[in-house]
Amino acid sequence: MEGANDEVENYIIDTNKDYRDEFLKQYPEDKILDERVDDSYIELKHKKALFAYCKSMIDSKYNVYPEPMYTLLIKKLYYDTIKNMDKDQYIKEQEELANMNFIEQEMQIVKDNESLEIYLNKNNNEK
Amino acid sequence: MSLTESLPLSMRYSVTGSDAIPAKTTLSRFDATSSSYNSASNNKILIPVNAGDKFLDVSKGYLHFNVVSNHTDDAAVTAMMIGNGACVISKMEIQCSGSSGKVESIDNYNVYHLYDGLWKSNVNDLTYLQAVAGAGAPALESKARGVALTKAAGSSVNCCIALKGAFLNPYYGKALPAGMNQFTIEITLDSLKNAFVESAASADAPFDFTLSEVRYYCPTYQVLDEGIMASYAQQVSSQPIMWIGESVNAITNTIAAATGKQTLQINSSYRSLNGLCTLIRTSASLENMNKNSLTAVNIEKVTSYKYRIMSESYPSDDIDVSATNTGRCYIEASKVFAPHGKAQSICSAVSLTQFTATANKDAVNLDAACHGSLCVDLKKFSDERLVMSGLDTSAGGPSTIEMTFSSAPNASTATTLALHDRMFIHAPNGVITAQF
Repeated sequence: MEGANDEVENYIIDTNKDYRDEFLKQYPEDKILDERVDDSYIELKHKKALFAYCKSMIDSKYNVYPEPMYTLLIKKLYYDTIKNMDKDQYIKEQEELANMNFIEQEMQIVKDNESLEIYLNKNNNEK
Repeated sequence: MSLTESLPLSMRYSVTGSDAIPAKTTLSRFDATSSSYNSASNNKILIPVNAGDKFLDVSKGYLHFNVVSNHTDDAAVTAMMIGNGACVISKMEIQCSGSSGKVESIDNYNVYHLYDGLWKSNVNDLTYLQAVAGAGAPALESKARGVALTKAAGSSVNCCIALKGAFLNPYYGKALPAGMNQFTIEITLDSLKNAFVESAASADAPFDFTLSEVRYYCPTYQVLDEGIMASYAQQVSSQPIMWIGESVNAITNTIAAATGKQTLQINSSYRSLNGLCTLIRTSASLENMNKNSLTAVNIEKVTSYKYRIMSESYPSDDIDVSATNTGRCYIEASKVFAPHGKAQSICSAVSLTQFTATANKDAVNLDAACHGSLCVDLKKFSDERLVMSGLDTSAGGPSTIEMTFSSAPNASTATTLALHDRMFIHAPNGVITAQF
């Protein structure tokens, strides 16, 4: 939100206009954010970690928004992440980790981080 | 371990690949209702503000105007701003449509704005203020005189002023909610004799100035996701939204030219009174074209002071003041004007020399004005996460300041600033109320 402005807009305020009423009519109830996402297959500890990540992201990048928008943005990021997840891959990953001992699990996490960094760098370079 | 590392790999790919929340930033401009204003005639500026479905980031907003002095007789005379462009604002109010009365009203706005600004300024802030607000050239200490305007049509200056007050400066820098009713920034201009000093001993008429291009600029943010906005609209019409900031009330008293103890009534009743600051200005210097009427505040001849609030002394013992004993007095001022969450305000703009300077440092040709004040800090905590941490005086009861003078001071005007937390509640029906 700290970036350059997209444009400059000159407002001519009509003091006889009911701006609030206009706003409420612009966004009717039938367009409310659909929050029905199946997160039942995700372990509680991972849901908590995802929530912490989303909150941290909104706190740092979108902290200018007041309530209730602040909460809505956290929910949006949380649900979008789960919508984009590959359920089978997640379950397979958890099964593989469950079969490893502690040191193997930690090594796998380090390896995964490296692959993620390579993936992100590659994507950024392509953009 | 970072937050992303605590997520399983499949989730991490998903969260890092999620689309950014679509949003648009716009620098919005809200014009005043008239094209120009004169300090002697149409001196009330109205700026209606509403950004529809956008969030107003008022903590980054600023008032813009062009100012010209109308004195015409003598080409050699210049009218110099006192401090910076904020000197022209005598009163600032916020009126919200649908709400009864003003939700915020600050008298002696220029006195408060300039003095508060001094305590928050170092040389880098003074450099900034010269560039944007018509202040004088930067130096370690503040300079009393700002831009010098020559006779009418000779010169003008454009100023950008970040307005103070609770409504436009909430703690934590949160934006004002989208979907609000329209609100109006109402500004009353001060007289030329108060806001400026003229360079000549014989002041040059007419004593008024003109403001044009009066606008309020403010970044606005729009979330471009219809689903989120519809959810937001549904919630703002069913639950209240709150924001809070520090506001100020100015109480005016007179100080007699008499030796000994003098007591002034303050009577400030607030749920969170954060601090009190009494500013003493020589009465003869107010509305005087050749005197600094705004920032020349002095503690000359004061030997001790304390506040008495609802029968209790604040601080518990008197604060003694002398040329060699200014520590406690300076610390209290530094604490009163500390930014939210800070224990003290450390500045370079108010030096010891300026803090103890005598009342005659308000003359037209002086940049080193007197900047002493009699303050008491009443906040219990200075943690940024806490609000309403001041003294609860809402039960009422008398409050006073007791000052002792070693000899008769100038007959003076004492302006006591009562800094307090002011909470705004945007009700589900759109009405905004202030609680304090």
